[in-house]
Amino acid sequence: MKETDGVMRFSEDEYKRLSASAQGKHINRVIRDMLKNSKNGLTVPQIHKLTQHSKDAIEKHLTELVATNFAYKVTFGRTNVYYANGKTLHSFLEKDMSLGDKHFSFHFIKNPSGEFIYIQEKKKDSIGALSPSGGLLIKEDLFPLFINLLQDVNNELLNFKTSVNGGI
Amino acid sequence: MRATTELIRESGLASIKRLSVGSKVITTPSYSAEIRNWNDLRIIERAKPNHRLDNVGVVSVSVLDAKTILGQQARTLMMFTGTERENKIRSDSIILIDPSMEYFSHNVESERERFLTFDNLPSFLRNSLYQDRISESDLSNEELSMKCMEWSMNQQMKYGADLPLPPCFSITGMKSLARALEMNRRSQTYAKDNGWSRCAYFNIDSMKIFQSEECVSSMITALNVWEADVIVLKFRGGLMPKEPIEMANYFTFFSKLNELDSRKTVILLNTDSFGYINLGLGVDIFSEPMNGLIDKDVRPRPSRDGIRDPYPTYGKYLNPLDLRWWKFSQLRSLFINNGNRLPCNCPICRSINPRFLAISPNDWNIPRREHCPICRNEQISELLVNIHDSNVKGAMFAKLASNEMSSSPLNIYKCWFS
Repeated sequence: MKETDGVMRFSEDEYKRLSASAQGKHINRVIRDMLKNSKNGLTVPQIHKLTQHSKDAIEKHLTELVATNFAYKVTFGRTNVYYANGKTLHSFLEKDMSLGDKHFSFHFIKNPSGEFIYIQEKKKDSIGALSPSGGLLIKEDLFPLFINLLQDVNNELLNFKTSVNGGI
Repeated sequence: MRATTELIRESGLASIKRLSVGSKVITTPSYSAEIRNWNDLRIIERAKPNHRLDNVGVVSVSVLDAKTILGQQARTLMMFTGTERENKIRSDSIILIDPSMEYFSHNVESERERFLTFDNLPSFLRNSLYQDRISESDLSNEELSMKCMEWSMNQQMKYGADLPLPPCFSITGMKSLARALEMNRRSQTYAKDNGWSRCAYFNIDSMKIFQSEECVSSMITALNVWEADVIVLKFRGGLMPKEPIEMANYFTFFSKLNELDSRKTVILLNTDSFGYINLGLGVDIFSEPMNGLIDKDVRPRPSRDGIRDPYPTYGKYLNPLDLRWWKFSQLRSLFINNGNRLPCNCPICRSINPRFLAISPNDWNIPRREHCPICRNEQISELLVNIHDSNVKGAMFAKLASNEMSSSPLNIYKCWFS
């Protein structure tokens, strides 16, 4: 199948011998790579056929990917098709930054619903592995409005702090 | 975070590159100090800012030593004593942790026993190591090799490695090479799952591997297929190829490495001046133990009656003129014949000249270690200038190699240019 081209995978035997956490990371990464490589999206049975992982595990990871905005789901009748959340449009907008112990990636992406600024939150575990833990998808034309809102929140916070300090 | 390599300039097979791993960026060719104990760590940490060692950008530690130098106990100790040494090293140097898995299959008890001191060693692996060394047939066991891979990669990252190296047993022929290729493939998949840099690592028994063209071509084919960011090599069992066929295969290997993709960084682990000479053949970083003892088996180990054999009283000294490590007795004669001067003019050697003949081992061991990275830093600075001027042949080692009086390691370079 074309979808599996270029996806690095463990064989079934190797996969069984991995620890539970490593197995989870592996399925997650394989599904992400498969979604990235597929143009027409993938369904749970298709991924199951290609990887032999259980349908429940696949569904769990797909839900996680949708929740972190890495993928999105389109329902056709009774079939759910999953797509990777667009390709990066401009490499100059692919930025990584660290704020304290959190890591954020900024991407400018395009999918059938339009163009978006995608802010992905990543967490680092004890062995230094980065995994997506949340995401924010903002329409490109609404992004200035979002920045203004953030600015307003910041101003309000500053006013609040000043009033509290003044009160003391 | 993936490692990226940018090519800046080339001259022959040598090149100037920029290696970035996360927020750490170094310019290669670079020297990597191999740290084995607290003393080494303290010395390199002090020498780096004091002598502006810009070309010492990497620090390599064996996983066995990393436990005491970079492990949790060391961190806690430093937190209490207020000395945040390792943090300095961590912030400005790329850290490489050698998995040292070759000791599993070697009959080196002292090293194997040190693996057993790791609390989180998988029980399957622990039981195998308790019984005896891990034999050739054991290495084909998929369970064992997967456990080794997962434990080793996690352990390296736990100690703060920037480039996790796949565990690789000694490659002595086609069978062990096939196992190493398999292990590399699994490790790269595992690194990709975790979002780490992908490294290819070959622990080569050079006496056997470079005798056959088949092994060299298999390694090159595999490197062509993998998307490794960094290629790490470790030669064991005699660094120098001696036979004509070995030498021919050796040069083929390095020239093909350069043809692969110039954006890959090649690192040579656990070498001596041989690594420095290889910078002219396309190696970007070479690591060298600061005490000159390449063979780790020279560690003190308990003798039969339980008393440890001591280290040699005076260690070896890197002579920058012939690039060899000299014993103290030889150096003493050289000192006298040289008009009471050491052959090097670095600030460290200049400072100890007047009282050298009466120096005590404790006073000697620190400066001789500090002298090594300073020398290498200067040699690499010269090489960088020569690569910039597209005249790699003009670098110091090439000048020495064209000298008839040069010692054997330099002849390899002479052979390359002749």
